[in-house]
Amino acid sequence: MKKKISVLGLGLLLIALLLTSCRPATTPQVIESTPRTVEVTRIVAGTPETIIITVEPEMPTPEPVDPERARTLILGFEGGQVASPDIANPFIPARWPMISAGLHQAVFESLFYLNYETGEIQPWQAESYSFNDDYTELAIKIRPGVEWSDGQPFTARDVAFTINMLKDNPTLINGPAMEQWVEAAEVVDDSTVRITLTAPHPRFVLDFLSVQVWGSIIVMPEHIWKDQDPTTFKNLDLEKGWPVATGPYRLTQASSTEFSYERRDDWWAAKTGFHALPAPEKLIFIEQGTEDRRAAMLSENQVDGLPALGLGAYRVAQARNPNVVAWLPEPPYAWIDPCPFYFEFNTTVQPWDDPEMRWAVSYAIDKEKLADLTNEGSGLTAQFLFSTYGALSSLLEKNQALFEQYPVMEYNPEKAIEIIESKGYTRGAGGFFVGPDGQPLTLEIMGQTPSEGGVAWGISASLFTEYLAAVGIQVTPKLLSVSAYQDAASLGDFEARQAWLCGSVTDPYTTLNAFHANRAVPVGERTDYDKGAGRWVNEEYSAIVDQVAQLEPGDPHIDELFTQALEIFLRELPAFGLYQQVRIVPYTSTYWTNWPTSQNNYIHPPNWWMTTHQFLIELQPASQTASR
Amino acid sequence: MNLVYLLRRLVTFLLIVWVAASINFIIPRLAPGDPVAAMLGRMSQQGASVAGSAQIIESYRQQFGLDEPVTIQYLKYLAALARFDLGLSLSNFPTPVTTIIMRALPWTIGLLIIATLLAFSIGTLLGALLVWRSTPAAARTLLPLLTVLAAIPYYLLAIILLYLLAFRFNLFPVGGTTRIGSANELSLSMVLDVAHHSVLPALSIVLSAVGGWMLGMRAMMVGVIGADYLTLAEAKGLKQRRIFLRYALRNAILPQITGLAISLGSIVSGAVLVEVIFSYPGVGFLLYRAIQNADYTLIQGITFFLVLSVGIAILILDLVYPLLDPRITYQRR
Repeated sequence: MKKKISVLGLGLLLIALLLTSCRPATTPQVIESTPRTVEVTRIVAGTPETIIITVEPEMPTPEPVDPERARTLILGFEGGQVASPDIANPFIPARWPMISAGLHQAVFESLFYLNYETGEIQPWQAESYSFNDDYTELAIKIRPGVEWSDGQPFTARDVAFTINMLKDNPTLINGPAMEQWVEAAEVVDDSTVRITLTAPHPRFVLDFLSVQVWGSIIVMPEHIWKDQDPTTFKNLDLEKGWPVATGPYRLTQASSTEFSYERRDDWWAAKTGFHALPAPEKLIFIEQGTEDRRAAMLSENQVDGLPALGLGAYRVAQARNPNVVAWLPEPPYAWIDPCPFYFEFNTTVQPWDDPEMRWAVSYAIDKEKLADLTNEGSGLTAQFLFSTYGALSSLLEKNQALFEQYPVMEYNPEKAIEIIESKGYTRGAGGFFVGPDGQPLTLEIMGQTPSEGGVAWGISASLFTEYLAAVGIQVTPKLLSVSAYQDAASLGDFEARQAWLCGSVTDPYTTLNAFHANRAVPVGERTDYDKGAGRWVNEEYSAIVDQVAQLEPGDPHIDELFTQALEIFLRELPAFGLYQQVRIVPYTSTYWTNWPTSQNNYIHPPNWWMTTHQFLIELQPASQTASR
Repeated sequence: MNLVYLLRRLVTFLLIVWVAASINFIIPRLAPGDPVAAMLGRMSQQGASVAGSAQIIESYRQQFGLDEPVTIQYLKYLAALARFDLGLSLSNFPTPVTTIIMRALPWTIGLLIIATLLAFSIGTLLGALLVWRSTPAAARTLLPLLTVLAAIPYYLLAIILLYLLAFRFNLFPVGGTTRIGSANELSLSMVLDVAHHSVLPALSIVLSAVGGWMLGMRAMMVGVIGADYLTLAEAKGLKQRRIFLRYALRNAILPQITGLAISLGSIVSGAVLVEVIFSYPGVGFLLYRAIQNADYTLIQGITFFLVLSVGIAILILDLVYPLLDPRITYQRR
């Protein structure tokens, strides 16, 4: 008994010690002070007199800002704990999630950055680019003064080396794309690289070199990579100063849940006067964890920004911490992610090879309700597979007549039933339709498991089942793990699926091309799972898309070609838009200000993309007492 | 202990490991999903475009030997296992599986050994006290309430503790292993920091496990309470405390020790939900991710560790049993 009690006692003592050693988080408070009135009795010339005095409360000394914290920027990263936090090679699959835990935001830089708000491609490491007349040759001029973190100059040789390396190694990410599009990448002189393309591709810079969505091809230093095997090279050795990059920060510490970076005061942009040094001297990316953890950390200013937060959690954080901001100042607060959700049919499976049956399904689903229910009450529908960004929205505006002719957003279950009955189906057991051959009308809809993909997948699945049952279609939801889902999509092993498309942002080509006939490989062979996988073939549509491919983004002819393509797409409806992917990207202005918001929209707000770099270098310290 | 018995146990142990390893090989491959497709898939979830992914996947499948006949893969797997070569992780290629596991293992073992031993000691003691006649009636009525905690899943307890102690009352950090931004050098402050960060994860596991141990011990004690040797001990005039510890508890505790051995053996699989909630880099989360990613080699590696560790724990236990209780013998009669 004595032993056990002393063990217990020791344990309690330890716990007490720990309790006292902890430091509660300090939140710089908004100080409210109102003057009070007080009755005071004094003796004046022998007579007691009561007067009222107004007392100004002593202004409490403002809580000292922790200087260490004030010079550090802390952001959360997605993707969970990093199993192998020693990979800084952006070309192998194992790069993720470490690469978006600060590496491609602050250490690596891009040749160009696409700014969603201005719609312009901002040259960064590059100074400019130009195509020849038929878009088969691209010349990129490198900005003078760009340097690697080891002092070596960044030249055209590095660009050519990287592109050729990708071309020669089809297992590397973007390897197959470079193999498909690049004939040769040659050094003209130290500051000019000429890329000869295998076919005209006016969007080469947009697609591969300017962070159209999330990231782009990152140029690697030839003097470090030329002796390495790019398929297994980890590119990380803190003692040697690897990864060698051109960005304003260097990696100082990496663990499964935390990555630390320090500002490089010899950053080329500061040296040449191109851009001032970023204000945060230290950068930390931490694993963001569950919603509860995120809300707690944001409320306590333990993080300055997060990749995502649910609506409920955001409200909690905002209530506790008035400095929390998001893209929009009012509900839904969210920013629109460029990857809208859509519903796709496998057009090789009967009876879904019939466009009218596909239209029936579209009529049966209330997309407004679906958008709201999957987004905590504040969703946005997707009329076409576009995000609602400026250029794309105005394109859809111009085609409203088509949307009236083909009312893809209409919720009309009676019409759906009418169409199905016109095909010879009759009501059978349980109110479900049965075909003339006696086969029940069923549809298997593939999605991702909520535990991996998010709660919305489960909600969609139940809603589809409900809506389609109301029009007599028996739905079997097939919810799979991400890997199984992607596999099935790639192989065409599905009847219908909910999916998302990261396609066009400023120019309609990428989304249109997602449904090109060349993607329609036979079921059982692989196609890219992240584009149209329904094996839809329409030669007329594909020919129009090929024409758009030849035109530079912004060309006036694209509009009319888009209308023609849209007409075919809507008529055949191989897929229809569901809802936008909205994402609350919260920041707190306690320590840092000048965050990108809709009212301060100098750039788009994601902090897990390469474009984070562009606002990282614009942040300002909130408190004047912070050391610079 | 005779040699024949020892040899028999060793052979059984090897047999167990082989059967388990085979099951670990078959089951991940039965589930749909492809490791490389999974990795690229996770990236596309962030919006990263992976053009030409079909080609990348095919090339990797060849590189990993996934396109070979399953029997060949199985034989290669067994041969590698015999050399303790767990191979390279598919989703973290080219990092070896052993490196990945070794990174996470210290955290898991540290957290769970302490949590398990604490839960065991507290639970066993309280369970024994529940039945002992000298225990005050008040305690005997209140202690069973702890079993209510056992009914609450440990991850739910974790969230409750997180909310109460970290969010509302700011007594403990919200998660992680060390203070954000602290350097990784081994020092007293770092050790205290790690301990401070481990309190909530450990507490959630301890609180939910205590009830189980308590009930088990209580059941064992009930069987011992009426024994003659206890009466003799009392008649001899020994102190209550001594009788309780050295006569009653010690005889009742044997099955609990078996449970403890198995518990300790299985801690290498981690406590995934606690690790997720508290952002604790343990093996549980690793295994969970590996399953999501269909990372065959990593799954095989972790489960192999698990099988080995539980097998060794039981083996040691079997061999140590006669020392704990001299009545037990393995002689053939």
